[in-house]
Amino acid sequence: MTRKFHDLLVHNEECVEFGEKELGYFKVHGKDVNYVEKGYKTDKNKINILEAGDLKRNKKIIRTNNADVLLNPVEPDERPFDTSIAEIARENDVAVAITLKKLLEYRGTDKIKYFRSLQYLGKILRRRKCPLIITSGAKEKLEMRKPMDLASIAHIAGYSKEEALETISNNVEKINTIKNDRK
Amino acid sequence: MNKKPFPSTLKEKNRYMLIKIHSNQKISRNQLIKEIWRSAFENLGALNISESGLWLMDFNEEEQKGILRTNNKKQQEVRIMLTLINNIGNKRAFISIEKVHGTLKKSRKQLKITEKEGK
Repeated sequence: MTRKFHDLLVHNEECVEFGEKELGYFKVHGKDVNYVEKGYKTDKNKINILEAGDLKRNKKIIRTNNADVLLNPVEPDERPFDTSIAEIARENDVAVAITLKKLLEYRGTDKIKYFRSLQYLGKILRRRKCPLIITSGAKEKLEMRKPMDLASIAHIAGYSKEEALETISNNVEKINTIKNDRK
Repeated sequence: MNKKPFPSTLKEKNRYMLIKIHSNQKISRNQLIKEIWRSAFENLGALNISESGLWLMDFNEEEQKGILRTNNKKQQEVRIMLTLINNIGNKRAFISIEKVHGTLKKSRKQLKITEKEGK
């Protein structure tokens, strides 16, 4: 069975076209995704991706009714994610997503600290069986990557090759089906 | 005195990655090499680079495609390192791995480079 690769979050229609035609994605999610940076204005008909904040805010976010994905709960200096949040996320069918765009922002020691936090996140998510999604979060087409290259980010979090491939295929499809069931 | 031949079981298995550069401007071979080494030192470190046997074998500047050699055991690390490149010579660009081959001959066939040109 061939895998179908998805990129969950891009901010540009040009990226959707580039990803599906040139990079070999099955689907790049553009308009069917609702990205919520601040506040809690979720949309019932779309996949709601909520940007993470501190520990307190993250706990609040994953308890909201229409939350589907918690985005970037990783910081170089602090850990805005713990086992209790992972437990609630699993119960509420909320996945955790990491964007490549944020990873590329860091240099030097900050990058090392970010990798360390990512490894910590990976350990918790695997233990609590909470799904991880890797996405580009691209605002322009040169911020995108091929599916296999994007999946390799999961290796930093300690995922095996098979688990890493699931972060861009099965885990995204699961979120889609859960969303459709909720409707 | 004749030296004993190197045992074949200890021989490293290489992988040849067919890479493609996506950018709005053309990237030269030197710029690419500089960026690969910079990213390798930043993300892998000297120890991992030495174990990976990283080397740019060929690069076609017109097609912006090339062949990168690495060890089979460090393939994933090299892939991560290439994914984390987003600038080459102050130009916005990214590197994608098109295919991985076990022999240089196959890789060159894909890139349409004859062995003489490669050397």
